[in-house]
This record gives sequence, structure tokens and C-alpha cells, in this order.
Amino acid sequence: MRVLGCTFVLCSALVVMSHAQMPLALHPPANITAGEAVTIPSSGSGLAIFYLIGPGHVAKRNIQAGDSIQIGSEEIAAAGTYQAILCKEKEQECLNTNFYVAPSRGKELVFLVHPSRVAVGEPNAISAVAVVVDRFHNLRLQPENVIFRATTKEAAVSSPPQETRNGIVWTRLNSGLKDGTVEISATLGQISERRVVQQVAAEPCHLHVSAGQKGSHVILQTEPVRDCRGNAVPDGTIVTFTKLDKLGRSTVDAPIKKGIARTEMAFSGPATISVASGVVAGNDIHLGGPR
Amino acid sequence: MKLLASAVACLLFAVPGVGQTAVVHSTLTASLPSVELTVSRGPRDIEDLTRHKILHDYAAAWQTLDAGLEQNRSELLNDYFTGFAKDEFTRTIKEQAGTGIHRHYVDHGHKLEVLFYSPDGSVMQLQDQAEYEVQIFDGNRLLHSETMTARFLVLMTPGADRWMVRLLQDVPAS
Repeated sequence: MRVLGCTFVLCSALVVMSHAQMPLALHPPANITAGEAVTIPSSGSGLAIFYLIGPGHVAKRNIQAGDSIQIGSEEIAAAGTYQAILCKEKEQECLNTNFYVAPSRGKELVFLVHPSRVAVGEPNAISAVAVVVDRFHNLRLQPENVIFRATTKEAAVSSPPQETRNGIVWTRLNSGLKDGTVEISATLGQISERRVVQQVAAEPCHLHVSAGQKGSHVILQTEPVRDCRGNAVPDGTIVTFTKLDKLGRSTVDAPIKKGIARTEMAFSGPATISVASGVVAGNDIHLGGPR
Repeated sequence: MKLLASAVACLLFAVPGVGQTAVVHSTLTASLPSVELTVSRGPRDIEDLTRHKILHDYAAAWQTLDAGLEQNRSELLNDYFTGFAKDEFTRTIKEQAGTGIHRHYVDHGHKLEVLFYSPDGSVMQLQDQAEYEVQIFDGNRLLHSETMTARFLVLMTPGADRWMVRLLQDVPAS
């Protein structure tokens, strides 16, 4: 009986010692996905403090070493490397384990289109960049197929599927030949993002000015200003009228209103009047005598 | 068919070009981490000024991130972080402050490679091979210290006078 009692006491002591000396350990799963709750089994004994240090989250909590640690879905929303640290309370001993959280399966598109306003007939004038992220805005690294599409009132055209590299895919588009809006979209499966680009007339073409004298002033007026494809140049575009006479050179900048630029200039004898808009020069007019 | 061709903006399915490879070493002030930049892919060529701005601004971004995580001051992120990256690190710093944790970084340098520079110059994707030592503290207690070699994918976008880090995501080494 005495021998049995001693054996029991000895065994109990050994069990207590083995628990007390059991080293801390954490065993995170090999594959962890952002936004999916996980359980990290731990080993060891006694009270401990668990730290989770990640790119988008930091947590600290008291646990019982040996228990499983529940990590909530919101705690691992950011993809990247996390450090799980387990420290014995009131001791210096800490254990660290790193684990990687991969982006989640959900997809979203960040779609950048530039510029928002473009002249017609420009090659490679529109840049479209699609960035594929998951619902937590982690870059999705696996290749995904994105389709770009351009739509006007008249028609639409689509690209073949284009594969992302490191989460990014891009294309360039020529602007159309007719002014108006063009809708650029990027589609990834059921997800689609759209942007609208305003196509406006290019540089004026055949800029033509006429003049009418009114007392000591001359009234200058352009014909409707259009680009070479017949698109009306937008109101607000500046047309520059220049008068050269015995007093020298004088210039007036007039914005196009309702398709026409108009101004008045003082008239004091023979003068040459010219008109220009941007890099385009129009006709010259000679007033008040021979050239 | 002619109508279609004239009326619709024609998609040009451009293939990312392979640009000239160049290595630039930063000539930054001593307080900033060292950054090297390799330019290897297009589609847009990187202008010299942009290259130097990227070097400076990426180094400054890490400097402010290190300081923010050490001092638990999220406002330090305002200068060089925006968008998802700023939201993420701001949240992290606030949680650190709430739990008494802070991190000290010893930055050993970054090797940047440009993976993508958009045709319109509005976004740049880079890969960063970073080496640093991180020490994690709870109050004054050192919990863990580790020297790490990490690979980051970075999205930077231009701001008014600088390039801002919009996304900074560490990825597996392979």
C-alpha cells in the first residue's frame, strides 16, 4: 500500500513537472486565407499572453497555454505575414511563429481611366488600367482574365480576355472620330466597372474670319469653328484675333460661343487682321486700302 | 463596318513593352533608408525626375511608417501614404497604441524593381526586396526580434508634389 502511494505521488509529481516544463508552441494552419477565421492550437501550460501582429491588425489577449486560439475573420483581413507570439505571463520566455495570409477569393476591380476628356482621332489617347483586388483590398496575385469594352451611342467593341500580371492589366485605346461620350468598361467575371470619357473636337480646321466696318470699329466674326472631321469645336475655346496697322500690333482673345468667335477692334486706317486658334492659323483680311 | 470603325474608339491591345534596364542608387540624406531602383518594364519609360522622386518618396514613406509604428503616431502616415495602405496602417497603429505594443524597425535597405508604369503616368507598381530588423515591444518588454527579408508589391500614385504609397502588400518570396 505504501509502495502504491509512493508511486502515485511520484507519478503525479512527474506529470506536474512535465506540464510545467512543456515548452510553448503555436501551430498555425499551413494555408490561411484573408477574412476566414482560423484556430491556432497552442501547447504549453499555465497562463500566457498571445499577441497577433499583422500588417493590418494588432491584438493582445490572455490565454491558457495549451488551448486553441480563435482568430476572427476580421483579424486577418489584410494579406501578408503575421507574427503570432506567445509569452508566459510574468516570465521573459516568448515564442514566435510567422504565418502567411493569402488574399481571399472574392474579387473587386479598381479601374483607372485617363484622361476624362480627349480630342477625337488621337491614337493611344486613352489609358485604361484595371487592378484586381479582393474584398479586403488585397492585391490578387493569381492571373485573372479581364475584358475591356468601349461603347458609344452607335456601337461597341470588346477586347479578348487579357490576363493580369501581379494583379494588374492595362490597355490603350484610340479615341473615336466623332465627338460625344465613350464608355470604357472593365469586366472580370460578373464584376464590371465603367468610366465615361468625353471625346471633343480636335484642333479647328479651315478657320475663316470675316470683317464688317462699323464707324471707327471693325467687327470680326468667324464662321462656325469645326475640326477637320466636322465636329464643332467646344465653346470656350480661345480664338485670337490680331490686327497689324500703323500703330502696331494689337491682339484680342475671344472664346467661342455657340460655335462662333466674335470681337470688335478699333479701326484707324489700313490694317491686316489675322486669326488663329491653338496651332491653327486662319485667313488674313486686309482692310482700308491696298496691301 | 465603316461606321463601326469610324464611330467607335478602337481598342488597341497593347502588350507591355520591355523597357531599358537601369539601376539607380539613391543619393538620399543619411536619415532615409537606402533604396535602389531597377527599371525593367514599361509600358511607359520612367523620366529621370520621376525616378529620383520615386527613390526619395519611397524611402521617406518607409521612414514615416517605421516612425509611426514605433511612436504609435498614425498622423505621420499622412505625408506619404494614401488609400488602402494609409487605412490599413492607421488602423494597425491605433490598435498598437490601444494594446501598448510598438515596433522598432532597423531598415537595412530596399531593392525596388518597377513592374508597371501606366501609359498615362497615373500609377506605378513596384516590387521591393526589403531587408530589415523588427523588434516588437509590449511596453518596455521585448517580445520578439527578427531580421527579415521580405518581398512587397507596392502601388504608388502621384500626388501634388510627391508619389504616395497606395498599397503595400508583402507577398511570399517565390
